[in-house]
Amino acid sequence: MTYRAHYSEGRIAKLLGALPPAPPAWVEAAQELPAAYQAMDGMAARAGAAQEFQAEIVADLAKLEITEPGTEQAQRESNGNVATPGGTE
Amino acid sequence: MSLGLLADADLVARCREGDQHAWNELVNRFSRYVYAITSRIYRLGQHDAEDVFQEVFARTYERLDELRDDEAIRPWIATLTRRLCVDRLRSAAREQPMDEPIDHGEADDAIEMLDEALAVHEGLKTLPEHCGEVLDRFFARDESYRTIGEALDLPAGTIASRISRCLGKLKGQLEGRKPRFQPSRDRNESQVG
Repeated sequence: MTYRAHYSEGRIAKLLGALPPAPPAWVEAAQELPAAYQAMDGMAARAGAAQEFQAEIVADLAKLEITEPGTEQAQRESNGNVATPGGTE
Repeated sequence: MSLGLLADADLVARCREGDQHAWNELVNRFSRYVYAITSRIYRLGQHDAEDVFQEVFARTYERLDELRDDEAIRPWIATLTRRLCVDRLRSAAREQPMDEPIDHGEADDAIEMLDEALAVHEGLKTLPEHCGEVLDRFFARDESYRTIGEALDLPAGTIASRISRCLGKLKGQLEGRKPRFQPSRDRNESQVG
């Protein structure tokens, strides 16, 4: 079966005119979708790896129980338990 | 075989395998169709039409693995495009009521005509290259004899006679071929999510 047994030239002309091209930039953007998805997958994988790495570092630090110079001072500041310059405690 | 002549189902299978050239061809094959649905049938503005256009191809790409019938990619795309257009119009209507409600029957008829137009357009690929180009430029791109003549470095009179001759070839080709398309409304469209 074809759509029609007989196509007039006028009908063909009308049908050809019914499908103008989409703007080339739209077509190009759609064609680049696979690359865009690949790039996003890559970023997600790197972000996942970075998170794992960060978690490992935090775990290592917790094991070491390191107290760095200034840590106690910072802790007091965050608690508001610190002398202001020129003030009294 | 050239990708342009591959059946829809074979093209979808190649896309699923990650073939970038096949994806380019799939976008080329359906870009006019999606564009016509968004811009001519649902008359979306340029910005909304572009959003829907990109969304259609993004979802198509994401769901290639979920298609139940590769051959039904065209009606699948048609249904998806319609759905996204209607969503856009409804969303816009919440902010500003539409002048005319969406007439789904009218849209059905218009998409059926586009199905046929796509089949005719596909027929261009079977003609000699110079025929496909001159017919597409004149009828689909609405270029004048003069513009086409300048682009192809031919006199305008030659363009006119070439259009006539190529139209005759396309007519013969269409009338003699077997079906490759069925109207979208005749296909099972339930799988579009």
